[in-house]
Amino acid sequence: MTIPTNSRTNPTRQSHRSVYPFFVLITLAFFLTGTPVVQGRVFRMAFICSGSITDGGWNQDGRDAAVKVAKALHAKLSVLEHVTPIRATSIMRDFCRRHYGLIIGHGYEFLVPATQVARMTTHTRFAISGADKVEPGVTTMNFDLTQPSYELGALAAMISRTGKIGFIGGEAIPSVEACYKGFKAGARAVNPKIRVAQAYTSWDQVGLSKTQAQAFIQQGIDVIYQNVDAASQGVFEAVKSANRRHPGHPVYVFGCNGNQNNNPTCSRYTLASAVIRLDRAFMHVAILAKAGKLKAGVINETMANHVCIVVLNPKLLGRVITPAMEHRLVVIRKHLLAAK
Amino acid sequence: MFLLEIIFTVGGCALAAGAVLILLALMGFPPGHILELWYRGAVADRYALADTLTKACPLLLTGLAAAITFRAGVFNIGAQGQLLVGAAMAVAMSTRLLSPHTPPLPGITMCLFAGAGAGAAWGLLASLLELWRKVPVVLSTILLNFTALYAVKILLHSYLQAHGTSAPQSSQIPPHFCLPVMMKYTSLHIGVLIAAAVAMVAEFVQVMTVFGFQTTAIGLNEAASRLVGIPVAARQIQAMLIGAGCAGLAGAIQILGVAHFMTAKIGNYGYAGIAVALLGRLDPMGVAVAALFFGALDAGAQRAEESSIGLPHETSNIIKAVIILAMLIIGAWSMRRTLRSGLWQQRNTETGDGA
Repeated sequence: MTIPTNSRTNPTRQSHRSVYPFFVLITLAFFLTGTPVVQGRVFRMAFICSGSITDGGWNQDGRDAAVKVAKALHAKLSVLEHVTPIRATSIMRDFCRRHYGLIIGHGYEFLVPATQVARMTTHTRFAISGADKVEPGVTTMNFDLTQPSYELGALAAMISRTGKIGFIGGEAIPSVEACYKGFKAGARAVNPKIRVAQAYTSWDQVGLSKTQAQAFIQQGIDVIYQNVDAASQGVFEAVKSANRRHPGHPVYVFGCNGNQNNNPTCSRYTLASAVIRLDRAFMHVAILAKAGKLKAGVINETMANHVCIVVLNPKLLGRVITPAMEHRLVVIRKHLLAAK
Repeated sequence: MFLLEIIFTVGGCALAAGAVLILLALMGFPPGHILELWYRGAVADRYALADTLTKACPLLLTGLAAAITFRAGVFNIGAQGQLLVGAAMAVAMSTRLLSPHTPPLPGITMCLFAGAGAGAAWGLLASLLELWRKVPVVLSTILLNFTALYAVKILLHSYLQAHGTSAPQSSQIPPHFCLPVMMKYTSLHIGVLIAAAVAMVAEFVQVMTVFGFQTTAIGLNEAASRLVGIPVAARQIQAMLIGAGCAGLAGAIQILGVAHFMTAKIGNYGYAGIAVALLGRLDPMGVAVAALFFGALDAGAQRAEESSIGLPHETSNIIKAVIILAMLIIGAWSMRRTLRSGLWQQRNTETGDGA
């Protein structure tokens, strides 16, 4: 069989000719262009996260905290959202090359990329939030929401009329599973017979979390603790519509990571939030990094140092959360802090 | 003709730039500054070019995966799944199956071949489903993407999961199995050269071999190809094996060259590869140019996003989409002109009027 090679009648062959100079140009550019010079002595910080910085939860709180810290320290801040762990390595390398003083990777998924890049630099410090492993060259901030979740579990057990409560997580990762464990333990401490359901949906699929919350409500669950970030909107909507349909059988929800007590969808049914005060945590590591004193290791951010706390919804105090419940929560908190 | 192509390309770029400038101004961002940041992130210096090349690498291979199969009339939308399977296989080889004492060269080679092989095997499933059960490849490859994603998630929670953590991620690849980096402070690895070599081989096969001619003929007219005795089913399965192998290789290279560990969030290179293939007119060299273009867009977008202007990720995606659309429109226009001109010249040659 003969192959047509007439370039006049074969458009594909014609297009080949036009692309070769392009490759030559790229090769020349690679060898002829210089290397950029990093100027200025301003402290540079980078904040990278895997989700959207407008998710109304973990990522947005992180960005807001980083902005606050950068402003306070007069630092230059670069924010990158939707960073996959695969992309993170090259992004971190690029920041190192440009002499950034601190890179905050907001999520456990950035631990491995940070560990890899930390090997090749001495001037950049890495702080990874939501991780609890010791890795060389990396500071990890372990936000332990177990104790606040324990407190929320206790409150859920006090509020629940059906004896059934539920937990919805974005993904079965250590920090989220810790919330479930704390929630369950707190609830069982108040009511040993209480039934605690758990489900993991998604961080950003609102429909999925709404469906899961509706399924929980149909099973008789009347208090839901969610840790699903941007997808929390779905849980709030499910709670709102359930309360509209059956006002006599109220369903309540808890917020997580940020203070979600004032969410516009169902703030009247949001009992409290387990809050991570990221600005405090970030400020601590940024000051140390700026002074060149940030050491590798794990920083445990807990209830004891006021980074992980419970914020009750003031709108529901005295009405749904009675003074007796509030007093009992204070006692539980004291026990938790004493037990460490 | 060559001059016309250049005019069309430059015209396309100008049209895209104009559309982007208007869009940015409407959104309230300073268009000039953002374009400057984009340029600085994509091509302004050696590091930016290295970043562009690194980002283009997986796109080139997934673009080839789509181009090779599309040319043969097989609508393989499953490059994403094949990439995931290839990446998972490379991780399994390097962290579980191979001895840590395996020398680097054979180790890396085996990981890359295993990745490509796994991708090819995953693609073969779709071909066999079509052959035996008449399941359209478009449908089966889309569904196999989800199957691959959830299968990989299960593996990352079990067999491939790193020791000492409950996080769904693999262990780190041993350093001697990672692809060597060619430039300090960048991720420019030798996988880029491998991808370029694959593109050149694909170009050679397509232009200079009977196989390339037959697959192109099948893509243009399957019934006519069957009539002249081309083994259509066999060629389509072979094209699928090669294309899916390219996607699997992309996954393996991303793991061994850039990430050095794996999570299920590997990036949508498989889907982006379809756009790369279409922009490159299903031609390996065109795909290479399109992949570089996409890589430059990605690298530039990153610089614009991290700047003090804080261009939202969604906005940069919209801008990328506008540019790609403009290029596709101009590309289709230019292609139609080229084809029309070719047919006219052919007619003239046949009637003796031309040349």
